[in-house]
Amino acid sequence: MSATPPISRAERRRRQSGLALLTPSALLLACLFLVPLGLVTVYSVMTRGTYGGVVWQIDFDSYARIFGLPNEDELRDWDFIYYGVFLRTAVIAGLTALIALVVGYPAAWFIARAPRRRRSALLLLITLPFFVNALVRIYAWMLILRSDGLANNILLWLGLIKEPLTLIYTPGAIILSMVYQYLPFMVLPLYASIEKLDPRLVEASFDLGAARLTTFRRVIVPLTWPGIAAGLVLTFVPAFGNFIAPTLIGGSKQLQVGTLLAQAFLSARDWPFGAAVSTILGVIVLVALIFMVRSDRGAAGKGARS
Amino acid sequence: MSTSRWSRNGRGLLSLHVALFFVFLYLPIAMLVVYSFNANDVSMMTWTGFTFDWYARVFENLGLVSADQTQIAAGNAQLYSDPNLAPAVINSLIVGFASASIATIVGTLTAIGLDRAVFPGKEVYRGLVMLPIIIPDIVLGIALLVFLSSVGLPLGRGSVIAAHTLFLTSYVTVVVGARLAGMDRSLDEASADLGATPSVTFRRVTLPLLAPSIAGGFLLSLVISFDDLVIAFFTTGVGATTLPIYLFSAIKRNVSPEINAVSVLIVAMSMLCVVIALILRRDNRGASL
Repeated sequence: MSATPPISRAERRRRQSGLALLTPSALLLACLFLVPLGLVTVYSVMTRGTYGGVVWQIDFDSYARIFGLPNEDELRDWDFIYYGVFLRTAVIAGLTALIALVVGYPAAWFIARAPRRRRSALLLLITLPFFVNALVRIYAWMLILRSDGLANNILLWLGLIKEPLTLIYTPGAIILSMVYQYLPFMVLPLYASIEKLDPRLVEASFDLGAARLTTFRRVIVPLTWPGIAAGLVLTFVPAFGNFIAPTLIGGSKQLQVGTLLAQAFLSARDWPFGAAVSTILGVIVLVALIFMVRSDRGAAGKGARS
Repeated sequence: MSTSRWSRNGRGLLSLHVALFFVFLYLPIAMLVVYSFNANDVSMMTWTGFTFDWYARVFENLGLVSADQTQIAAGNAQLYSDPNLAPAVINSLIVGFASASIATIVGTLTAIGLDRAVFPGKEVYRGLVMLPIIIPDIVLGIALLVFLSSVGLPLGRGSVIAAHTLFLTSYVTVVVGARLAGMDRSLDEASADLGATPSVTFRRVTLPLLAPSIAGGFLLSLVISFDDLVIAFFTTGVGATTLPIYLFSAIKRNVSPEINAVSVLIVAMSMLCVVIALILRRDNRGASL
């Protein structure tokens, strides 16, 4: 960085044209992304308007409600209901990410170690379902899990059960459909990491007498950590904000952050509260992304040292 | 490779796992396709026979065929006629083509800009461009709803197009950017050395090399715009229902054989676009070798 070589006039013009080419997207991002997100953050500390919208008066009550603090003006006692919503959502999204990791890691390993020609075909097979409409994929799971759905039909036909089981409208159904939906986001970064893993390092670990489990824990996991971290974040984040799966497969009884948000804006018309939920969700996403970027950098540093 | 160290059983288990993995990935979609031809309209998931009826009804609702051609009993046709499907498809097509077109132009410019420009915070900007597709769609949908209604812009087809343009631009930037990263810069330099002006180089060298990835980015954008429910759900207004929103409210009411048929048609169309995009990419790779 310090001793930059002198650049030619052509190169300078090239760089300037590059900056000019970025203007449309900069405008687009500013107007339709940064300003709207900023506005949501501002609204989260405003007073609720009667018919939606806000009254421009600073009020932190939305956050107080989410964090369960009492408010004497509104005759509200301590109330931890929204902790429950966030916690349930976090557990469901966390399990989704972990199950996707356990299911996806061996598959990613297999693909990364397959002959080169077959590898691209397998990767294509992983990516293709991503382009199948998400709503259609959830609908397919509804058809499988309903009380008169495929799963119950098969179990009844096999004589394993007498009565149809309640499969749909359970947390398990939400997790299953989200694992299904986000598996490509898990497998692709895992694949990228495993492909870079030098097989000789695994070999060396065995030669030095390490058991298979030890090799996995001490060599393979640390070296593919960037892929693991990226996969976990890329499945956890959309699962945390998912609104379609809990609505269609989770039933309406148990709120999740996504459904809570939709409710705040569409039926309760409590914009500051919805904005506060959205802001907290945004902060969680940001923390997850920082974790992902840091895991990547950390691994790069380690690689450089060794 | 050191697979010899892993036991034979281990390798067998791994192959089994991968086989089950792909079954898991494709079985639900395959099941949906198969049962969309099931004649049983009472219990959809109990197979009673093969029929094209549900597709015929969907085409009839779309106005592509007339009722007498489909030979469905008049009473039934009345029962199943749905005036909302055709407008939803038209809205989705308009939204898809408009937003994918704008996003393809802006995304391509962004990818080239990021390739050329040198400025502090470039990596931050690269990350910012990616952010609209990484954050949960509901956060983006709500932010846009809040923004548009605060500014006083009407919610409708236009606002959905604006919202889709934003996140489709990120996808196009990724697709075209990947092509640029793998491109041979010496071709640009050779063109300049031979006396071509920057604009001629761009038109005659850079753009033709990028064309397949630009077309691919456009097609993928179209598919992703057609796929989006959540952002359209929050930014749309009266009379601008898109196909996913139509499908969502239909599914919330009840499952039905017509929904199966519509779903399969959507999947078929998306797959067609994706396959064309992939073929374009492969041809291009061959040409550049």
